[in-house]
Order: sequence, then C-alpha cells, then structure tokens
Amino acid sequence: MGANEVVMRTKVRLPCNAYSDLNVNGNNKDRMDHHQLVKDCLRGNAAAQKRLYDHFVGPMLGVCYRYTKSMVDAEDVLQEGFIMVFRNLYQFSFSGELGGWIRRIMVNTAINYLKKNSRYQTDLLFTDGGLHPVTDDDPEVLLSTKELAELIRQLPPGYQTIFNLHAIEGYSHVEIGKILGIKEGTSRSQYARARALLISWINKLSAINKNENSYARPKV
Amino acid sequence: MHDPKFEKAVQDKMEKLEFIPSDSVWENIELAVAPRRRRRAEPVFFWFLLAGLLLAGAGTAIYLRQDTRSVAKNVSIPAGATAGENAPMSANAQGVTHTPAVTDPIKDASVAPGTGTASGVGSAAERSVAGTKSSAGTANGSFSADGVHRTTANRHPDAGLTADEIESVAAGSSIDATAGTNGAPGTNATTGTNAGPARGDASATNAARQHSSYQPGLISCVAAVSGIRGPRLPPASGRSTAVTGIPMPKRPWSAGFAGGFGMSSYNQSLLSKATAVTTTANALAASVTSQYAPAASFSSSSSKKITSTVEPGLSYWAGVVAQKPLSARWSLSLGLDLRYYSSRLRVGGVVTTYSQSASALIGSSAIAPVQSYPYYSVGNVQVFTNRYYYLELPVAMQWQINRGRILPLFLRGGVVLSRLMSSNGLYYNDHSAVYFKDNSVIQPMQVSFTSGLIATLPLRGIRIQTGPELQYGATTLLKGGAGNGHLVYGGLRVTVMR
Repeated sequence: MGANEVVMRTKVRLPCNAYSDLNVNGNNKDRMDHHQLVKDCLRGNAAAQKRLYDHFVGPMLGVCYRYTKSMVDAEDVLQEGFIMVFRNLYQFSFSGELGGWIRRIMVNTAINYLKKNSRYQTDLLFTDGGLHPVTDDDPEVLLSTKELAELIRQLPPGYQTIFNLHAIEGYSHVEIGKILGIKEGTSRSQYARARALLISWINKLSAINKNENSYARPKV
Repeated sequence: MHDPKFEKAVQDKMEKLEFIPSDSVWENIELAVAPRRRRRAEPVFFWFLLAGLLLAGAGTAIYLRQDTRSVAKNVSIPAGATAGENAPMSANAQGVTHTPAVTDPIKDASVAPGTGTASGVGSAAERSVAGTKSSAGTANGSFSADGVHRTTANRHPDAGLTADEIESVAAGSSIDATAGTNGAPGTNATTGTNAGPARGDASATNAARQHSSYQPGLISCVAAVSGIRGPRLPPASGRSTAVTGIPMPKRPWSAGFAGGFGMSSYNQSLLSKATAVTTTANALAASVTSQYAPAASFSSSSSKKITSTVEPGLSYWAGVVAQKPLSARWSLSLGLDLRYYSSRLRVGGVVTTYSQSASALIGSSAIAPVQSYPYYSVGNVQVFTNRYYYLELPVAMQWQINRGRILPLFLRGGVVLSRLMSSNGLYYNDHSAVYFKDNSVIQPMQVSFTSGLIATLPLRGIRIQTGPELQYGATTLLKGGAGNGHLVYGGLRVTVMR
C-alpha cells in the first residue's frame, strides 16, 4: 500500500454500506489519529498533508482507475480529487470516516471528469434500452482483482459508471439518476445490461483461465 | 432481479484494488495546495505594511498642506506691530558683523523707534545713503530692515509702480511702504550703483539669485508661497516580497516592520550645539547668506550675535526591514524607512509684505492685499519647528554579543542613505536678518551613520527587537558653504519580525 503500510479496517458509511474503508482496525485510536491528521492539515502542515496523501492514495487511485479508461486519466482524476480534498478539508465533519469522505470526493470528481472530457461524453449518452437482459447467473468470481477491474473498465463508459456506482459504491438507482441526470429506469436498465455483459465476460474469461490458464481480453 | 452475491464478490475484490501513482501527482498537488497556504499568511503581513506606509504618506501630505495654509494666513501685520518687531531685530543686529553693504546710518535709522513706519520716500533716501556708505568699504554693521527691503525689492523689480501707488501702498504699513519705495525706479538702483565694484557685483549676483529663487512680479508672490512646499511624498510601494522569496533554506531572510521615536537636532559638530548665529555664513542654517553674499565680501569681524539656539525636536520613523543571518553571530539588515526629523528655534514675529493685485494696477483706487512670502524676524516671540522628512535606506550589520537564547543582544552599526522628501525649515539670511524658507539650500541626499544596541525578545513566533539607537549625519544638512551642521537623532528602535 504505497509508502505507508498502515492498514485500518473500518466500515465506510456509504449509502448502502457497500464499501469498506481502509481502516482495518476500526478502533477509536485510529480515528483519533485521522482527526489529528486532519487538524494538522488544516493548520497548513505540509508533512501532514503528505502523510494523508500517502495513506489514501493507493486505494483512491484504484477508485479512479475503475471509472476511467487509462491510468493517465485516473491519475488526473486522482490529482484533481486530492486538490479538492485539501481545499475542502475544513468541511469534513469529524463524525464520519475520513476514508469514506475522501472516496466520495473521488467518485464525484471522476464523474465530473467523465462529463467534462470529450472522450467520454459520447459514450455517456444514456438511452432507455427497453427490455434488458436478465441474468440469473451466479458466477463465481475467480478472477484476480486487477483482472476484474480490467473487465469493468472494458465496459462502455455509461455501463461502467452505473455499474461502479451501484454495484461497488452502493448508490441506489434513484441516487444514480440524480447524479447522472437520468431516469431511475434508465439507470436500472443500463445496470442490468452492464451486469449481464460483465457476467458473460467473467464466465468467458474464467473458462479461458481454466482451460488455458492464460488471460484473454474479451472483445466488446 | 440480480444476485446480490455477485455484487458482494465484486465489492470484496475491488476493496483490494490499489495502485501506486507516479510522483508527479503529489508534486502537482503540492504546487496547487502550497501557494494557497502561503497566500493565507501573506496578506495579513503585507497588507498591514501597505496600509501603514499609505497612512504615513497621507498623514505627511496632510500635515504639510496644513502647515502651508497656516503660513499663508499670516499676511497682515499692523504697522505698529511691524515697527515693534523690527526694532528689536535691528537692535539685535547692532555690532554684529554682516556684510559691508549695510552701514551704521542705516542701522541707526532702523533702530530708531518709528523708523519702520516712515514713508517710502524716506526709506529710499536712507537706503541710498546705505549704498553710498557701503561703497566706501564699511564692513561692519547689521541691517535687518534694509535686508528685508532689499529682498522685497529684488522680488519685485519690475513692479513698475507709480509714485502715487507707492505712496498709497506705503500708507498701509511700514513694510509696504518700503516695498513700494524699492519698487520705484531709481531708488533701488541707488543701492546697487553705489555699492562699488565688488559690492555691485554682489548685489547683482544676489538679485539674480533671488530672482531665480522667487517668482518675479507682484502676483507671483502667491506662487512663491506655494513653492515653499516640498515635493510630495511618493506612494511607498516597496514591498519586500522579493526578499522573503529568496530561497535560503538554512538562513533565510526574515522581514518585518520597524519603527522608532526619539529626539533629533541639528549639530554643527558632533558634540556642540548649533546656534542660529548671524556671522558671515552661519545661522541656523546660514544658508542664504553664503548664496547671496560671496565669501570675499564677508567681514572679518569676530563678533557674533546669537539669534537662536537650535533645540532638539521630536523625531520618529517607520518602515520595513529585512534581515538575513550571515553567520552564527553576524546578520545583515536592510530597510526602507520614512523618517521625520525636527528641531526648534525661537524666532520673532512674522514679517509679511503687502503686494498689489492686478486689479490694483488697473484701478489705483482699489488696493487689495495679496499674500506674500512670510519671514520671521529674529526674536523670541514664538518657537518654530523645522521639519524634515527623509526616505531612508539603511544598511546595517548586527553582531550578537552574547550567545544566550533567552535575551540575545546585538550591536548594530551601519550606513543610511537618505533622500529629502520635504521640509519646512527656516534659514537665516543675515543680509535681511530674517528667517525664511528655502529648501534649495538643503542637501537632498544625506549619508548617515547609525549604531545601536538591540535586544531580541521572542514572543510566540514573532521576534521583537528593541533598543537605543543613534544616528548621525555624515554629510552636512546644507549644501557646501552654507553650514556645517549635521542632523542627529537618538531614540528607541523597535522591530517586529516574523
């Protein structure tokens, strides 16, 4: 995990409790340390800012990576997101988890980045797909973390965003509709298509891995 | 609709997704965040600095403007009062060596009570005698009244007044009468003509110099008064951000405010006390004498008449300072200050002249008093404060005496380069035996030595340095030959630094 190997496990208070925080230990001492870190950052302590960055940069880059199509774009989102974090750190309420607060900023920054970036705008046109495929498959996700992340990133940007927001971040379709400016039904249909597509790829890739024990990139 | 086990599995996988970004990400973040941190602290410091300098400049400008107005109001003096003031002035001048141009008969005439109220014709006759006497080489004698007249006449050589106008002017006051008489054709010329070769040159030279100093003509006397004003202080805009921005990680520059207050005076030597002496070239500032009378014409008489001693006045200064430690004990200090010096001297009453306005020249029936340049006679009627405003650039070295961290003591010494911004100082003209203002005789650039003992008081991240300070002008206050006096300042210095 980067320079700092401190790993803390604490549940993030995201909308659906879908994502756990970096705080693995979950004790009050770690929370107090985070609070002290925030206070030091608010005083303008550059060393504290660097510590906060080092502590959260790895997972946050993973978040950004899932929403973008390249590592360069992911780092752009990460950089913009951390600048937002430091500039709005005074708005952080010490009642919540710092990791969850930073994650929400990263997600919002990533969505704004996708909306502003012309490379993603054409693919973010969400249309009602009518009937969407229903998948009752219960695939066993045997892929590695990075393989699964690569598959998610291979989804079309619209699918990718909705899948990330609903399946991983835990937002409801109503919230996704407000965030992306689409109808709730559209979000549902897009998510179903994304899910079905991803499951098909997972099954295909898992079969390939089993048979050939090698990685094959699915064709979209 | 969908199997939540799939989402849970994906969440678990994605929890572990981490990457290490490139180093440029943090560098860009730091660049974006760090200036914000610096901007938070700088405005507090430098806005106070800017506001302080603006306030100082505005206060100085307002003060000088008020001072000029107060001078301009002193335009009317009753004839009796003028005579009374001129009499002691002339009495003081008795036996004092001035220039050969003034003689005993004239001095006697001016000393005599009521002579000041004499008619213009009578004054002219006396002055013609004075010119004749002076041509004979009589060296002794002080004649203040004549000097006043002569100065006035030189200021208005082209008045072109008729005899009736002169007499009508003379009816106003004695000095008016004298002015009118001098303006009459022929009378004033007598002085110059009879002055002899050397004296005549001196008079011509003096007249020419006075013409250049003062605006000729009656109405332009007002302009001459406005010319008293010193140059306006430019807006202080010297920010020391460049100093603070120098990247010196080990011994960086530190900046702060500096100020002080104390007493200042005008010393003819380091330890002697200056006096406004009516010797050949000495006065409070003795300036005009040397300009108006060449050294060859000075009397060899050693008799002196102390007109006024120069007493110390209040002095204060404010500015910015930047310091850089050079070694464990030595540090360099630079600054930009605006300093106010003052000195006091006792003078007599205000001597003013009436001049005719343009309407009076058209219609002789209406004679309107027009403000003219005020003089101060020798006497003990009031205390006048000479004020000098200098923009200073001090460069000093500080040496730490002790190694104590609780109360470090520093010896401070350096050089100060000063530029005169404004002054209202009075200077003595021993020709006319009056004090008047003329900034052209002051050295605009001054070099001074400064020294002091500084104690540093640390207080919550702010260093306060304070201690006594002495500053002595290495250059004379006045231009060459005008005087040997130097500005001296002693007071308390306070510096507040981050």
